[in-house]
Amino acid sequence: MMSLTLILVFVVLLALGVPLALALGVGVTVTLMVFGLPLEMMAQSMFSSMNSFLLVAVPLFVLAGNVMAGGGISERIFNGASVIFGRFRGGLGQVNIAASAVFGGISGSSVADVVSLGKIEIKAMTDHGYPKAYGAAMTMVTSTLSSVIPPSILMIIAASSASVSVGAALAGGFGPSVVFILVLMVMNYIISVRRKYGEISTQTLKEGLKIVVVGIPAMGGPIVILLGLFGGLFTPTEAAGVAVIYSALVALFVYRDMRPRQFPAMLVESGVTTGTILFIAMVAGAASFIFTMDGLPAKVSAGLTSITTDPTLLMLIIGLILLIIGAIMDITAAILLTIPILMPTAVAAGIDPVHFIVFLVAALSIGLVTPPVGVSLFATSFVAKLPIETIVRAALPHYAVMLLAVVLLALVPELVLWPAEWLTGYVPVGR
Amino acid sequence: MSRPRHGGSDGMPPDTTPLADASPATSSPAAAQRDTTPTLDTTPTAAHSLADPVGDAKRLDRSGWLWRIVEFLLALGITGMLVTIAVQVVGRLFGWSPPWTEEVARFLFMDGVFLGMAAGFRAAAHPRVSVLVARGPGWVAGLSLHATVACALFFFAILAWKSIELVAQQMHTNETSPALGLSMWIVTVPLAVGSLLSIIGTVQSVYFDRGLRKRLLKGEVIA
Repeated sequence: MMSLTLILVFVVLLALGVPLALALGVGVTVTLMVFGLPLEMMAQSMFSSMNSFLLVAVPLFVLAGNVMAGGGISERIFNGASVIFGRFRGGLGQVNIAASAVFGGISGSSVADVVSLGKIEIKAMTDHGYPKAYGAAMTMVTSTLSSVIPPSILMIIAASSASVSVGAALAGGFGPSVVFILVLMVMNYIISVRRKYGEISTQTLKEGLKIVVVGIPAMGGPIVILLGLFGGLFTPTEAAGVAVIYSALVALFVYRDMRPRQFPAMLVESGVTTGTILFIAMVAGAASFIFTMDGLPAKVSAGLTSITTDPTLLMLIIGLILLIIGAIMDITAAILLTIPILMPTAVAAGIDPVHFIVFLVAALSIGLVTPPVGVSLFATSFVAKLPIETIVRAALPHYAVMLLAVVLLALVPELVLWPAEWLTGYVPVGR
Repeated sequence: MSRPRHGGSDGMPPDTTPLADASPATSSPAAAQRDTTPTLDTTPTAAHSLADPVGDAKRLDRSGWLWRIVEFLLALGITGMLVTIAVQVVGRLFGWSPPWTEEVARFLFMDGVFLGMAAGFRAAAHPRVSVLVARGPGWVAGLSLHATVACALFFFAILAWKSIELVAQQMHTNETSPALGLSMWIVTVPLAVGSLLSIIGTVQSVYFDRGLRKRLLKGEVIA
């Protein structure tokens, strides 16, 4: 009953256009009042959910993304990637994928990817013989990479809320990253060859080398961060600080595209962005507390295990649930609400917690690029100035292969567990 | 008054996660009367194109001294986090790990989040689903704004009251942080302040900021 009350209030307010986090907060408060529970719980839970050193990484990674966009780093990443991959049929499509992968290796935010790299990518692809809709679709789908490639902000939030090793979950993110990259590259190649998209770039070796050399400090960012993170040199939060300082130094002193007086505005913007992301996290924490108190996880578990107890089949069913929730809900809220409800079932069925968390983030990240509620989709629509329907239609083949990737991740836990074992010494459940 | 470059055109911040669907074309005069027939035209208009998102911040500083202080504190807080984390990383390289860096960064972060939340309300940047506002009957848009203000009043008044109680309780028990010995109520005060500021921010964005109000009524994505 408690869960039902909460969900009802939340859905009605959400449909009315009340900000999501506020709607959820009112839902929680009304539920506490109706069922005579102490309202103190709300303030306590909001306060303590933010009392985490790990989450300090969020504003810093957001800031790193802002600095990369404003400091000309995104642009150099794109240029460097286009020299390397631009020589093949469908080359700029592959460049789009590679640049997003590198960007995600520093910033960890999908919308930042669309906004900063997107404009450059869509323009370059349109200028070189790709339909604009296709360029926009590629830009959009590749933005999901930022949500799974370490150091993904969402992975940090998910792992810390599930009390799973953050390092292992970040490392496990390499699994979905590689799978997403491969399926998208293959799909792009097939489409480009069939429809004869794109010209082949024709730089001389000297020109190409020059661009790559200029791009090295930009493209080196992820290497510094990932080596430090998995080499045990710094924690995820420290990696975020290093990402900001590295990007700022490169932007200020190497590329000189940014002036120090631009910095305060970036700080403020990062603060506001963080406030909006984590306000959702705060109330979602309180809401999931109510769901747990109401015994919702046990009910869901009973329902799911009555269908099947086979871990693989269970993962596929959970994947389907996540795809639906991801399509209609904000991803931070979706992560924080589905973990406490679905994870006990998964773990009881013998699914490894790190595999589950990485799979959950990967499956939900597809919701970023699908209608009706997909932030990367909206961002792409703004950047490309194309109607949402046009982009969705152009992205249909990519949706299909990403679904395939999710199925693959459900069927082959090793895709996630191997990188976690190799990089962080994680010992999977049952070994 | 109106803030022409605010929001959509002055930069989509990473992961601000605007949730709303794109509004229908708003340039036609008919848009003012709200077309009640559902339309497939979701072309983003120039009004909310991300013209120059790069590095141009969500400036609140046109909204008076109150938000200028909030902005200043936000910038200061994040700079503080950066500095303490830099000290922590560099210090460890030289075998020096002061116990307070983690705590300072964490407290600055918590207070930054509570203020950032409030600033997000002033900028109407919190993600919302505005499909119904953009495409539904005209009265929905007005109702949506009043509902937002009512929700903010209800929720944040209770939150402010309960966090003030939490502050009183922490003062009473004299709870201190382990490394710095800082009284914990000092860290909790910004939650109360952030709650009150969120109410002010919501009321300002809905009733006193004409430019923003207009965009909210259209169901635009503001981020």
